[in-house]
Amino acid sequence: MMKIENCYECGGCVAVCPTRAITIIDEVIINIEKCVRCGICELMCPVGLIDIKSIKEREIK
Amino acid sequence: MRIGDEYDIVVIGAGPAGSTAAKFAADKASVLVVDKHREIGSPKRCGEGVGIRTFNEFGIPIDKRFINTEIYGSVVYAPNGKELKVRQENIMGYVIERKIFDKYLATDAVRNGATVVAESHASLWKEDGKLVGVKVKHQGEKLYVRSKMVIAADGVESQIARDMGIDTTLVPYEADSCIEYEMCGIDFDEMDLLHVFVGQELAPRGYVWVFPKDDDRANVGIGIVGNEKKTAKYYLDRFIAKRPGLMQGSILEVNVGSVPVGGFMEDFVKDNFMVVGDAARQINPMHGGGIYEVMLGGKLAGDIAGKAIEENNMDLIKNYAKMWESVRGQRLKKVLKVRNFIEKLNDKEIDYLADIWSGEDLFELTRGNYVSVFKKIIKHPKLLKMAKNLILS
Repeated sequence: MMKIENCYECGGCVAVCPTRAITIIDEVIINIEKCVRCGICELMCPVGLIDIKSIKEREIK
Repeated sequence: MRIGDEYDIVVIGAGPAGSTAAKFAADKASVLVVDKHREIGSPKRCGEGVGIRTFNEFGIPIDKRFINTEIYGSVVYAPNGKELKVRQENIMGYVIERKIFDKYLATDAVRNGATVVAESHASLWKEDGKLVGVKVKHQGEKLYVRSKMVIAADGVESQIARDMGIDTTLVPYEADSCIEYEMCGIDFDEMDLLHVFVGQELAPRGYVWVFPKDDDRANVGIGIVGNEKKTAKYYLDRFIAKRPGLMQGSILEVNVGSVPVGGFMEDFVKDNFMVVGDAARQINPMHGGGIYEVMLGGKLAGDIAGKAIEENNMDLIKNYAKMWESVRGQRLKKVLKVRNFIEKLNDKEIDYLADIWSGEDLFELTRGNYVSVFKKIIKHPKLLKMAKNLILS
């Protein structure tokens, strides 16, 4: 699980996520297991808060 | 707070679509509206410009508590600075305070008999694959609420419809990525008009808006195509930085949102389940405005849901999509055609069209009335061909 900090909860990433890996319930969480690293949410975020690279890096660690 | 065990209809989401659906459904059925937010109307994802017809057709009072400014027209600025202005003697619309407006709509639903509960996170409750109600998490408490019908008005995320097996996944190209500052202390002319700045360089496939809320206060926002690499914030900050009159302003509020501008869903209904509002993409694809559209969608859905309950005939709600198509859908499909044309233009072509089109022409285009407006581009072979392909498509 990865929490998105400082999020405005606009829901854009949730709307475009093809695998429903992102949920907004009190806070915004990306489920790393469901995420396929397509990066669509990163494109969609109006303020650039999502960094798919950091999910990939976490994987390597 | 009292959430009962059973209602005829549960509406998920208390935005304009959900509250309107609830109000009309409550004429004939018992209705519960749940909203996950702690405050109805907040956070907003909206420029807050609303046309006068919304007030007239839905009988909304002209109430100072949620009306900031009277709007008499608009100015569209082409990339080369050319202004296409429309100014009318009569009020064309208002810039509103969504927080209070949305609460008014929820209040209206309550006064018509519905129950509304904020801070209630809902998911679908199914038994043997059949939808029998909703599970609600309200202030840490988990409740099961049985209902004959569920209406999803849960916004652009539209997770409830996906739980019901209706694929509402948006592709970024069909969405606008938006950010808006409510700014005060700005120096900007003609604060009784909506100001719209267009251009692919300025706001790819979108526009910047300055919607006045006072003489020195406005919503300054931007929407850009969802698959653009740079963020909406980047483009908006760049726009503001070039304009001293805005740059001097303070920021009172930051709003972020995504708008589904790819055209409405065709598949609104499944068994005893309906989708309305942003969740159903009931949005004008040209400018991304949708208060009127979603309230219309909400009214149609609420009316027919109430009738289905009263007559104990769930099949009635299948007519919802057809009704939407005839009262609004056909027009919005025309608007989408116009948008598909406009989005392909480069800034030079937009400048060219700004010379031959008027502000009134632009109004007609946002309403999907393109035939006479497109006739004016007869001297530009490339654009004419594009327009012809569009009309025939």
